[in-house]
Amino acid sequence: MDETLRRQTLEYTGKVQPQRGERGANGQLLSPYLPNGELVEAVNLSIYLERPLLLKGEPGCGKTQLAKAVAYELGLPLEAWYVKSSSRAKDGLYTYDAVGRLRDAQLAASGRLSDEQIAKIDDPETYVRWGALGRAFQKPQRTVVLIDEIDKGDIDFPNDLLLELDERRFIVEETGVEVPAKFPPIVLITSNDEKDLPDAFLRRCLFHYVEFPDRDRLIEIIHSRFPQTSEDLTQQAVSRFLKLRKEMRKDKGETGKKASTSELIDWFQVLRRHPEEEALAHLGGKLPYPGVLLKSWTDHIRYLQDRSE
Amino acid sequence: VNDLPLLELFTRLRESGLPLGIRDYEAVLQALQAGYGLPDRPALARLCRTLWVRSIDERQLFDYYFEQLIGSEMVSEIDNLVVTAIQKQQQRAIRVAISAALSVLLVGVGIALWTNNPSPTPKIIPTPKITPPPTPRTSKENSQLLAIMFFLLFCLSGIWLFRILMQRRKNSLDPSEISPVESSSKMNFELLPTMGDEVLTAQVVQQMTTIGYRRTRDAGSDDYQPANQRQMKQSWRHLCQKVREGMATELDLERTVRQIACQRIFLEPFLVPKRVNLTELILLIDRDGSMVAFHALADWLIDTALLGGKLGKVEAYYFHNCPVGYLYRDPVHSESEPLTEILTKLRRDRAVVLIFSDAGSARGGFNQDRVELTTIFLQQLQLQVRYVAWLNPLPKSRWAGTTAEKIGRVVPMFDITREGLDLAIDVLRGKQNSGCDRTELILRKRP
Repeated sequence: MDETLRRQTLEYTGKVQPQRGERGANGQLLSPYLPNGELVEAVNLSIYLERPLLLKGEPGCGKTQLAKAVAYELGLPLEAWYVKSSSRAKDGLYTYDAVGRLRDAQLAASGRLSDEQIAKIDDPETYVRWGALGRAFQKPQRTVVLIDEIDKGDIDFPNDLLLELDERRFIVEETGVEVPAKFPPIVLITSNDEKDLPDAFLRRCLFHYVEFPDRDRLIEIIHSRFPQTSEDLTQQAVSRFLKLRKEMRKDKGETGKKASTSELIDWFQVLRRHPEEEALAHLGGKLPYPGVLLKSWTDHIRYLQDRSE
Repeated sequence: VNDLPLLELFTRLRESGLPLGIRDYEAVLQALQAGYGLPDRPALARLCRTLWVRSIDERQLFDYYFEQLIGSEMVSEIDNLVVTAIQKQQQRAIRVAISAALSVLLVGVGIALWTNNPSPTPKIIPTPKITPPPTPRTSKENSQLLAIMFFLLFCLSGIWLFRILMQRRKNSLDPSEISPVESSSKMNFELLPTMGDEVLTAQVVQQMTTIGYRRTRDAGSDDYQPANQRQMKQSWRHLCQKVREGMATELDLERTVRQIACQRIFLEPFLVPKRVNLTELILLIDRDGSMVAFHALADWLIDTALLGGKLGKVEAYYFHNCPVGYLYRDPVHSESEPLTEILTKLRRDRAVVLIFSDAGSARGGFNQDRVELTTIFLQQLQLQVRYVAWLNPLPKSRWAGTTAEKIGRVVPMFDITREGLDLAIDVLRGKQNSGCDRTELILRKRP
């Protein structure tokens, strides 16, 4: 019964949004996030079943932002782990500063350390630096863990995380200390599909494909980000943006890089600096501020020329 | 007793290659019990999709089977089915209580009648003896009482019978009362007309994956199974030639320790570059003609090699029947590139070539020209790359007497089964146990 109770207490609705100008724990400005119903459901399933949720979807469709939104609404801490090509699975748990320890040992040997410092050196834990998962495991409450762009890592990277995600414990080899998770973390993983993920890893995850928002949702997103903007400008800008996307899809197919939600937000931010009439006039003509939306030379040539003809 | 909802769908998905395990099935049950996926059909689909599907391709497959197997009436059944254990127990308890009460009542009435019933014959006879005036009224009362009793008994047993019948009927409708075996067989029967047999399944697989599937099956070797994408992915992982290259990022412990020993003090760690895979894989794909049926297999080979992630470089070129003079960069043969140019670009120490072609075995027959042209091409190739292997989409049994057999003596040729693919990759790694006659190639090289 306790088990079910514990599981049921957390529910993400996607409706609680930060106030304008509200800042997160690290001082970053928080922005509203409007997920669709399916995504909300997937998140709740992942929380309930205590399994990682793997998110795929076009770049810039808000995969990474979701973790922040979930942490904000549920009032939980967020631990983000941005995977790089050189990342190893262990880095997410802990790193051991062996070099630092060696240095200190030498200093101690030459008698240049105080007793206090020596006592610190004697404690093997001094040199353990916790990674995102390692910290999350030790938090006294459930923690949202974001493993961002897992496909950037080595192909074996996800497989090396299986045990930790499965059994929710790991051992610090250097000290022999076992770290069990006090509370099961809520793990959100994003992938841009640059590499296939191993089946063994996929099997342990829930999967959700984050769809590109439809027109109404885009307008909603713009409204929530820029509440003081006129309806007309929003409508026009979103229409122009969707038209560009449609052209891009025609040319590049489903898989090509298309203008994304995050780019729309940037683009709109630039547009609204102008007085409304001026901005509307801009939208009527050649694509304004193309540098925000078009990211390759061929795109520039193709979509800017099409417009002027 | 646990009933198993969605088992059919789960099994079908497993059969068509989704990597699903018992845990995935349990997860769905667990989520259903918590109320996820229950209100309607789309919700159920969303739930199963989130838990069972992990890529866009799998999603298409899932949607197909879900559409086929899960009707809207199924959803309400599943809804019924997944009443929580407590509710179920409560229902069961109530049912037991009612039937117990009924049976007690019935037995009671039965006993009452039993004690009263024999009275008509023996009582009526002795009564006149004991009671002096056997008033007609009492006997009338008695028979009235008897009639009421009978009527009551009749009604009660009627109600009881009716209840039993109702329950039976409900049983046949409510899957929560049927054993799993019954329900699955029932499912099968219901779905037989819509789902059809294996042929339809094969068609789906074919539609989703390859047209070549059935063709190769028709070829008379039933146990011939082309490797699927997962297997290809797994096989590619064996193809590597690792060398330390690039930025020095890894600690070389041994050298660092040695350095400390020499200098008597630790100054800095010794770093070495990471080991990276240098293998450059060139895929040469025979396209069109007899290979039409195997285009999907070819695409799989390319996709899995590209996304496998381990290989240093992957390039695919296309040709038709036999590479002569030019290779093409695209499957529709529009961007051509001279063979010599491609060959000079290859790095002899790193490049390996895998050719995917039926080598004339699909049509059968023997073509001396094709053998010679192919041999010349292979000789050119051998000089420029480390290793060459050949994958044939048709099973080995079909090569006999065709051009393929002859070409198979010049280059290690394997059919595209799991084993064949692994052997081909072994060849590309430099394990020369191919069984092909190497001497023939060497002899041909120096005529």
